[in-house]
Amino acid sequence: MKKFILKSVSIILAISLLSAQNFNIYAANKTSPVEFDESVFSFDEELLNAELSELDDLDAFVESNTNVTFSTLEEEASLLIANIESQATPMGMPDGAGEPPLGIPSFLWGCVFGVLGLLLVYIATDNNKEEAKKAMWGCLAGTAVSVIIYVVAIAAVESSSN
Amino acid sequence: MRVIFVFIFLIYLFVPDVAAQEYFRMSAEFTTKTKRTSGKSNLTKGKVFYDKYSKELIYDISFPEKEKWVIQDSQIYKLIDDSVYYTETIPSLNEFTVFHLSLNSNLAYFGLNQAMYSIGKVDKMGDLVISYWNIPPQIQQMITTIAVAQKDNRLHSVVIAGEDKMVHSKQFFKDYIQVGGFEFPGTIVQIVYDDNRKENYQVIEFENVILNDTKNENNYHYQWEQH
Repeated sequence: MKKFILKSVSIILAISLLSAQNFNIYAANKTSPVEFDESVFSFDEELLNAELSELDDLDAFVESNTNVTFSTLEEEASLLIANIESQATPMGMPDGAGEPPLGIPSFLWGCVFGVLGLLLVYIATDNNKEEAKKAMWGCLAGTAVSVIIYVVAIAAVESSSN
Repeated sequence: MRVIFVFIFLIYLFVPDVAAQEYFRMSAEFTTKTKRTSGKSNLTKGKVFYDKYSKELIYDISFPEKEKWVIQDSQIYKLIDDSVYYTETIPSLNEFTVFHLSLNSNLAYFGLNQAMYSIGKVDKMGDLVISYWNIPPQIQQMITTIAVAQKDNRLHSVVIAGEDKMVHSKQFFKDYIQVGGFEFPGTIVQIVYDDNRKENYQVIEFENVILNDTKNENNYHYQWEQH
């Protein structure tokens, strides 16, 4: 009886896996991306320069005073750092500024889409390591589930062939 | 006849060497500027060092404060005066950085082809060649489009649109720096839209790119045993 139940569950899981793969192929063929207008592939440089003008002033000052740091400017109560944050962000927007892509938890991106999801989170969150870390855990969880399904499916095939 | 033969032989001998010039490490001075919709801004300056074999990424930061970020495999270490003040386990993502992609000549599609994405459609708009990438089926309900634009066979921009068919993120790669056969974007501009369609800006500028520097090994491999 136990063997019969195990075999039944294995076959159901194997069929589920096959169906999921078929659905993936079918859905992949349905992809119809938005076609962008040429203007999407450009940006308003004047607006960008205006938005960054304060940072440009600070940058120019730092360039001409090589040993200056945020602390020294703070001690001098410099207006150059009026709206400037004190932490370093060499790779982009600081931790917490980025949100997971489209508000979907990063864990799910990694869990459902594996390495692709991980890459997507990384790109879309502007290299936010914290979100990418969540996606990585999701990726590992998804991989573990896939491995279990494969093992069960193979066991089902082997047991049915005996 | 013999001279021509020798000439052709020499070309055969040397041209592949030039074409196969391998770039395995790079350094550059960087400036990162961010301006968010909240009104807060950030300026970070320093030097960045990357070696594609060790996959070690080191930021030697000079502003806002002097500090060093060492990213090795799945660890990030932040140091002041060679003393670690912050460490965290992170995914090993250095292979997706612009440094690794450029050193491996994989920047043209921003590494999407290496991540097993496939091109769905190619379009031409003026000087731009736009490739639309097939979205994995499970996320088609959330992301409708990833488009990569190339200009003169170089990566020009990456645009991602969401389920609402609105652009969520635009990234532009410009002012390319060319050193021999190596190309690297001198400026990367990213615009990320918030829920109210307001724009967050980020600009990363690179200059003074140095390739295959073998005289300053410590800059590319942080020497922990000394500290």
